[in-house]
Amino acid sequence: MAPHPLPVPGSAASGPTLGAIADDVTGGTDLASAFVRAGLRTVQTLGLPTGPAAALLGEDEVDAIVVALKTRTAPAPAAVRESRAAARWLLDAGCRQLYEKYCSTFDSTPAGNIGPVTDALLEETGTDLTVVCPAFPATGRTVYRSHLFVGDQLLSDSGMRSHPLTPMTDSDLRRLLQAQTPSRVGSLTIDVVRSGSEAVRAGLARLRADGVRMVVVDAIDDADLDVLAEGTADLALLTGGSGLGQGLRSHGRRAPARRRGRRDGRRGVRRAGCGGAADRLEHRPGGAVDVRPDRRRRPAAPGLQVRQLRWTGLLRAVLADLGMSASPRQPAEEAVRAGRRLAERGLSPGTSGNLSVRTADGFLATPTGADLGALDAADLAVLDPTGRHVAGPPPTKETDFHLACYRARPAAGAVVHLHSRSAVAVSCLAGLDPRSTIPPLTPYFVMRVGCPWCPTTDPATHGSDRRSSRSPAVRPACCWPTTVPS
Amino acid sequence: MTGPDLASATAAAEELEETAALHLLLSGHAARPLDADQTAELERVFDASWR
Repeated sequence: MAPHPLPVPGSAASGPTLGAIADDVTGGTDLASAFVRAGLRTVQTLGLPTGPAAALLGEDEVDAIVVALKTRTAPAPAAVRESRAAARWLLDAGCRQLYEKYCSTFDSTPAGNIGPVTDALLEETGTDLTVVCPAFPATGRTVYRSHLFVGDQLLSDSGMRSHPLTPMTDSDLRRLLQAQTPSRVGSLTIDVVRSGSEAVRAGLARLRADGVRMVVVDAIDDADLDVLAEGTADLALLTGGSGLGQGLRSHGRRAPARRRGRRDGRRGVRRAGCGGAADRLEHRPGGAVDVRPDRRRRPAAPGLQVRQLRWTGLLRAVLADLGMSASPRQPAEEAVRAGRRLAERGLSPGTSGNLSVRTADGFLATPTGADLGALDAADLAVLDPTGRHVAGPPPTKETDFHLACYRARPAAGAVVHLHSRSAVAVSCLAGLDPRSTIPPLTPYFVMRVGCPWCPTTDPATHGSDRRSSRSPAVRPACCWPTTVPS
Repeated sequence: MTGPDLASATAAAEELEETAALHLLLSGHAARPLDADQTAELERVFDASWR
C-alpha cells in the first residue's frame, strides 16, 4: 500500500481527529496530559463508552480522545478484542489517526500483547506499517539501536528485570516484539532520525517496500521525538509511550486532517462489523474527563500531571464501577489522610506504623521514623515498580515487607502496617493458631478483614512462597507473633 | 493489612484492631465464634476469604 498522503492542516471541521487506546488508566492519563501539553484539546474516557462519541462529547470541540482500557497484563486475545472495539469506536468518532499507548518500559514478555494488539490495529486502520516508539526521555527511557535504556542501564539490567508481572530480561525491542508477532519487525536508527523528518519518511518508505510492518525507532531526546512526530504524521497508526504524544506539538498540527472519501467508505463496514462487539461491551462503564490545555503549567513529573485533570463526579462514579478507588485524591494525599486517621484513632503509637500505596510509577511509602499523624504529601519516599528508592526521604524499614505483600497480592493497591495495641497483645498470646490468629468472632470481621494469618518465617522473605495459592502470604491480613522480627 | 486501595486497607486495619480487642475481652469467657458453615456462607455470599 502506498503511504498515506500528508495531512492538510486546517482542512477539517471540528471533531476529534486523533484517537488513542491506552493499555491502562494511568498510562492513558499520562498520554492525555502529553496531548494537552502539545496543545490538543483532549478528552479521556475510562473504559469504552457505551454510546457514540457524539453523545459523549455533546457540544464540546475536541482534537483527541484517549480511551483508557485495562489490558496491560491481559491475555493477548482479550487485549486484542478490547483494543479492536476501541479502535472501531474511535474511527467511527471521526479519528483519522490512532495511537496505541503502552508503557515506556514496554512492559511485555514473549506472551505479551503489544505485538498482537498492534497487528489488530494495523488491520483496523487499513494500513501496513507503524512505528514502535516507547522512548520517553523526560523519564529516562531512551532507545538507541533498538535497545531500550532506563536511565544509564539497559532495560534488562534495570529494576524492571524483576518486575513482578512483566519481568524484562531483554532490551532489544526488535527481538521482544518479533516474539509476539508474525509481522516483520524492522528498525530506524538514530542517524536517520537526526537527519530530519524527510529522512524518517524516506526510511519508513524503504522499510515498507521491504515488507516491514513494525518499525522500532530510536529516540534519545525530545528533539528526536519531535522529528519522529513530524515524520510519522501521515501514518494511520502510531504506537508508543507518552513521549511521542508530547512530540505531536512540534509541527503545530492540532491533529492529522481528515481523509473524507476513504474514511467514509470504511465507516459502513465498521458499523456493520462491530455490532457484536458493541453488544458485549454494553455493560462497560465509560465516561469522559475533560483535559484542557493549560499552558501556565510547566511540564510536570508524571505524578503531577494528573492534577491537570478536572476530575468530575462522573469520573468518580466510573472509577467506582471499575472497582477502582472512588477517590479522586492523589496517592500522596490519600496517604496523608489515612495516616492522620490511623493516628487519631490511636492505632499508630509513636512512630510505629507505616503504610504504602501503589502509584502510576511504583509506590509511595511513609518515611522511616515518620509519625503517621503528621505526614507531608510532598515528603514521602518514592519507589520505582521494583521497590527501589528513587526519590524523597528513605522509606520505612518495613519496605521489604510491603513489597512482599504487593508481590503476594497483585491486586493490592495499598499496605497498612500497624503496631496497634490489641493486635500486638494478641500476637503476644501463647499458643496462637498460625492459620487464624483471631477467631471469626463477627461476620463483619470475616467479610472485611478475612482470616488473619501468622507467619513463621522472616517477614522479608515470606513472599518467596507466593507461587502457592494456599500460601498464607496471599491473605490480606497478618498478625506477627512477637518472636518474629517485624 | 493489604487492600485494593488505601481507604479499604485502613478500614480493614481498624476492623482487625477492634476484633483483636474483642478477642482479648473474651479471654476466659466461653466465646461462640462463627462456625465453619457460617464462615463458608459468608465466603459464598460476600466473596469473603476465610481459610
